[in-house]
Amino acid sequence: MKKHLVLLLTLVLAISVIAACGSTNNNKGNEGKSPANGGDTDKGKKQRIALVLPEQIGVNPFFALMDEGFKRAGEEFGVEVKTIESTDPAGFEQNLRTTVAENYDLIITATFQAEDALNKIAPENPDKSFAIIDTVVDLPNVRSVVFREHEAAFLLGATAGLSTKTNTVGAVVAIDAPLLSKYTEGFKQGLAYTNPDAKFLVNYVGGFDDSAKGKELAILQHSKGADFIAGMAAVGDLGVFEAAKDLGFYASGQDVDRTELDPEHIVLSQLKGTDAVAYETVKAFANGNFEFGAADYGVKEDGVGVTFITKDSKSPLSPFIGQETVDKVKAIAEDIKSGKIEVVNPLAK
Amino acid sequence: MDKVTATLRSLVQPLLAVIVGLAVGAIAIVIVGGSITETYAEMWRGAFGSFYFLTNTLTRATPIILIGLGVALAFRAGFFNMGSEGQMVLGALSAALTAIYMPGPGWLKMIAAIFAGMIAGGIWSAFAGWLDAKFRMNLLITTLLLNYIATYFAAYMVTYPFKDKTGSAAMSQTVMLGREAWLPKLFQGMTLHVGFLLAVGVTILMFLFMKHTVKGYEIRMMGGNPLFASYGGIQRGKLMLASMFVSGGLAGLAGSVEVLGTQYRFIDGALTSPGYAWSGIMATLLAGSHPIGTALAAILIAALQTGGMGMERNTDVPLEVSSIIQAVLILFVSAKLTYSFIKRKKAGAKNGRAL
Repeated sequence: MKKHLVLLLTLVLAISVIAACGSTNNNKGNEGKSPANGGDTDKGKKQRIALVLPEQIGVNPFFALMDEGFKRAGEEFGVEVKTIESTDPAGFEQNLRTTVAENYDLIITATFQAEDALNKIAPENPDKSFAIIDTVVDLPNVRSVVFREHEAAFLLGATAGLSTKTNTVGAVVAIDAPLLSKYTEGFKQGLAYTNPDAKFLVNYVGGFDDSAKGKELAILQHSKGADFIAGMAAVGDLGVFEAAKDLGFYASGQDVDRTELDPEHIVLSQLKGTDAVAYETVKAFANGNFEFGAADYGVKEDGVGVTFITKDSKSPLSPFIGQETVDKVKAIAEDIKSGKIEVVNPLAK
Repeated sequence: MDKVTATLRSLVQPLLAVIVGLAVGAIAIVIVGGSITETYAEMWRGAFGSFYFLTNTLTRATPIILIGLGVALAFRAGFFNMGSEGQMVLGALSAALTAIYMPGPGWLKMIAAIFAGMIAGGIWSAFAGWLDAKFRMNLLITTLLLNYIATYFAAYMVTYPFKDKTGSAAMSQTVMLGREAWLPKLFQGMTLHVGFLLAVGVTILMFLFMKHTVKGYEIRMMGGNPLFASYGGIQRGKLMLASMFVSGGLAGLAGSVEVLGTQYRFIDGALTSPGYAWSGIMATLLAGSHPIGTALAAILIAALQTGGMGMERNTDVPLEVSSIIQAVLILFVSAKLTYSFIKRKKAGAKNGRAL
């Protein structure tokens, strides 16, 4: 046993010694390089932008879409882009710090999970540019981009109210947090606008990545009479879709056009243009009109929407919805754009 | 002369393990279409490439070292403390709440928070020891199951009573600690904090304690041969409670420094998702419960993780592949255990040694 211990120690020691040597060398190299890099950027060398995500992209359409828009913008505007995924909060902070140390010109991050780390790192590096998508971080060197999801949820709720036959609709929501009340409250307002008698069931999954629980909750709501269930649970939506297929009710997805998965049962999708926002952010930075502060995107700016209503879909329109309903809700969407209908933002209350 | 050849020969196996581990990792890299040399170079750079990355690695190693030491102490005494995760989480929660609600100057908050974390972790661990001593409940099982109670209890506490309701309030977490209670960073702009010095201090203390004190000897004897130990007059129950308390206390300390030095608040899942506790146990196993060896193995494991992150940042090899490489490396390094087991079996016929 002792012998093995000795050898392990030797091995580890050897590694750390090499590490120490390597570190000094590279350190010098870096020191020499960074000012030169900065100089080059000023002369118009390729700008480097990093997208640092607090989670792994996996099957989460929210991140997948953002990554897509980010990469597309990188190609179109000749900017070097790099997407970095993280596994845990400590790792995320290290990744974010490292992108600062590696001298990226702009560092984009996203969601409330990034708030803490950005609140720590941005003030420490006042000369660096940051952007955060989907939440507001009020710092002088951060651009925050948020969505008015409640407007899209209103449209979704309005459509559901006109379409339901059982007068009961449900929503399977990720977590019980004020942030997500934008979805539930918006939906509720829309539902009440078109169908004041309809019952609205809400259940919370308790996380963003649990499709099994999402399915269970959808089955539960269906058993209580819901014939339309809106998935608002990120990866949990996949469970809702599965339940819809098994039991033959109708569902809606989030962020991207989910109707393509199963147009017979997934009849709508509440869209959130994370790709457009990532794209626009890179574009603005590449063109030199990037601004700090907060910006929000709603139905009017085409940042959020609903399939068939604000955006066409490749899938056929389900008879459950019907063209008549679509036309009615399209009118509602116009009213939201013109400000005739004002959707209350539950967070602003 | 004999010693030198023995050392050299014993070095062959782990080096071989690392080479095989890297080779299997290389297959994974080729499958996803990356360049092997570039990927490994990035992995190295991510872990040790510059002073900045070295400190990053050490930051990540800090909780792993402390947990590893705690587990090592219990292992040495012959107790399998698998409950580091729960002990760490409860310690972290207690530390966070103490630092938030304790009045007084920053240094007092910090010290009180650290002690609260250690005591909470220690009590949770000693509770498992007590169940064993009193009701003969299997320690391995109780410590393992108490993890769930601890993590879900902590999750409840920060989802309902102590939830931070400011800002977007979408995370289950406590409010942020006051700036005065943050553990100071060792270098400007780097993540390494005072907790690392604590970890180094505890490593040295533990080494001296095990080697040069009577209690340390008792603990080693207990682990080596419980029957002989009790024949020698050592009370198993008492020693178990004490060593489990310290073991859990160190896990609690790991959680506390992570809260006070890195996250500045208790976030549900922030300590469990990086798998600190399991990495700590792994470090202990790799080092055969030797305190200094455990600390070094913890740094090695942390380096694999930060190296993986560096690789993910700078190559097109996805993060999942880095997890494969980490797993394979650890698997092959720990193959040492199996290897020596086979050797022992062969030798067993000759001199009859059991373990």
